[in-house]
Amino acid sequence: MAEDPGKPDEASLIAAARQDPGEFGQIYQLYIQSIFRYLYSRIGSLPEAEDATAQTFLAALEGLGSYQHRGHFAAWLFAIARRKAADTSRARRQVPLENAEQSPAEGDILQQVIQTEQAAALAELISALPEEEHELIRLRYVAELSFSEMGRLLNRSEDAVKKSLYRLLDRLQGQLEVSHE
Amino acid sequence: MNDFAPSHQLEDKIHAAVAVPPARPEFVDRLHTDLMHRANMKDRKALRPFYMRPAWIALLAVITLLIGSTLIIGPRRVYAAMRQLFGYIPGVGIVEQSNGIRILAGPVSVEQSGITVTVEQVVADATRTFVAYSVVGIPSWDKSGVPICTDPPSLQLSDGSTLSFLGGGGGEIGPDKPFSFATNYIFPPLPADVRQVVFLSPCQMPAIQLNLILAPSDFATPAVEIAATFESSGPQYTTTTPMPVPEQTFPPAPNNPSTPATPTPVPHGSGLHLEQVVELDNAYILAGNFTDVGDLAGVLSVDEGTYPVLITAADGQPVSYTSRNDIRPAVELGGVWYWAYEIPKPVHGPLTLTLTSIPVHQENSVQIPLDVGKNPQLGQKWELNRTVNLGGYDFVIDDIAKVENGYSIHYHTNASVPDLSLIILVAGVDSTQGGGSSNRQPQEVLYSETINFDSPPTGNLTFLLILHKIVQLPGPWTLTWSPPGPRISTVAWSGD
Repeated sequence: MAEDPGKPDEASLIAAARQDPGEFGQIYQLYIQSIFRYLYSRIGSLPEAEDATAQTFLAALEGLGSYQHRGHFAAWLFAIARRKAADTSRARRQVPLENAEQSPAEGDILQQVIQTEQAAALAELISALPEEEHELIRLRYVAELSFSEMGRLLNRSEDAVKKSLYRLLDRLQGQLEVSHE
Repeated sequence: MNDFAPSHQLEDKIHAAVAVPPARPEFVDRLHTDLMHRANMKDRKALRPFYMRPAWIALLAVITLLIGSTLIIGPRRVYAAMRQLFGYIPGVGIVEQSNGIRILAGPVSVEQSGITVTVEQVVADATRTFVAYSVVGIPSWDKSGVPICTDPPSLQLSDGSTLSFLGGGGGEIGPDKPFSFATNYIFPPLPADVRQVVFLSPCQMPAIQLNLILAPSDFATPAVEIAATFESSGPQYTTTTPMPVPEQTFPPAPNNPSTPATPTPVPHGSGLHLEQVVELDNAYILAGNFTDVGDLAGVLSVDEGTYPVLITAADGQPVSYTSRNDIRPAVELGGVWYWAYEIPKPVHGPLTLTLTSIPVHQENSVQIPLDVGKNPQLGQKWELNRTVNLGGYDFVIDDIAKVENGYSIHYHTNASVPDLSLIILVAGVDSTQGGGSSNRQPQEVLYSETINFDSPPTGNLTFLLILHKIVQLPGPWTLTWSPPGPRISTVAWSGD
């Protein structure tokens, strides 16, 4: 989630794609998983998420000429994705937990059961959050955006986003502890 | 009160709780192929600046002919001819029918393993191919746990070439059918002589042969695109500073109903813009947008909130209208809210579209300078008892105290204020962690916020108090449009 020093030089990729649209494939490979995961998490339906993902990249390809690179490409791309998600004219449905890919817990069965229960409780708490707070979780832990990218996307300062998220996590942790007492 | 920095364990739990499957490799590969195909087409167009699709060349020729004809036979006959050129089909949008429109005679379905794919409608004109289809009875996961039935469709021509979709979208069919959906897709135009195409269906379903017929001449509602000239205005707020604070980094939210708002022309600023006007026999369709160019007291929230639009006639009476979501740009831009309204005739213009408010993200902040000295002591407290107004709400900053690794700030609001805790920073200094708590009392809500640092700053500090929220920014924003004069009529033309 932090800025990845090993990440390809995004500015170069964008400049190349603007010169030669065929180079857009590298940008696509860089963002396809995070865009898809974000849209799937937000929309909750696989066909719709794939549809919205395709539309996001199509719009990005079409709009790349008008994009002015200032190091905020992820925010620009996710702004398109958010718009496509909002346009999806369907009732929002969360991804059923049983369909979610869980990281298998190491250790004994009891520990796995506890962790699964905690994940379920946490998922329930998160799904009950107001949309604005849910979006913070989604952008950070599903799309894995940096605080800087989140700030740019949400038109807020990096520090403000960080503080908002940490405040939210603090509250969630407290609620999680209460639910297990 | 609790200081807080999320542990790796908590973050791991959050990751697990919100995890979703990765994109399917087949989908990733297919979309990549599709994008590269489009990119290559785009590239070719870029290299050929005068490249035009044959359909557009034909259309340009027709328009040129019409302009020439105008000079020869007069505008009213030309207007009648123009009515033959365009049409409007509800749900499909504007169609160009200089070469006729090809349509599907009726819905065509295939059924396999309980899944039914139905191509409901095809409308092919010289500029695009509209396809509406539905899929019913989709199992979300097959026995191996792999999701099925998710590939986008394509159209295959008789020479084996395929057309990929350009845009479109849809949704589920009702809450009682969670795995059924209906979608409209836009594909490139079919060659002029093509009457048969194959719908390569998603869901590993059999292909569907689509036989197209020439639509009857009255299939589309006659339509004429007319000049979209308009005037617009937006509010000019009287900005007031509700209390003496050192500096307000953002203007206060003008959400006080008593704040006077005087309409002022905003030809190039944020506001309502008209992009297209289409005249039908019995109505006009006005399509446009609300654009945020960055001069609003907040950032336009396109995804959230409502956009209450009132349309009034010349006499000030409300005019009924219908939203038309089938007229939208191919590529939608961020920071722009798109709209299209169908207004039935007769229209007693000028019409005024009034947007009474818009939802915006607002980040209101105030700065509080405080000299804590060069060596503030643990427990040392600075009583402030200062009221600041943020976003229309009063927050009383009680005190700031030195804690072990930073500072804690105590403030309160009246109990009638909703739970809107502030984000508090020290300007120019990165904090490492922090936390806050609230305590709702009968008369007030008490807040405590702590900000910690690797090395707590000292001396002259500037505490930055931020309130972030989404508010309805009051307008009005208006757009005035006048329908054309009496030449617009549905009666037969008698000639000049």
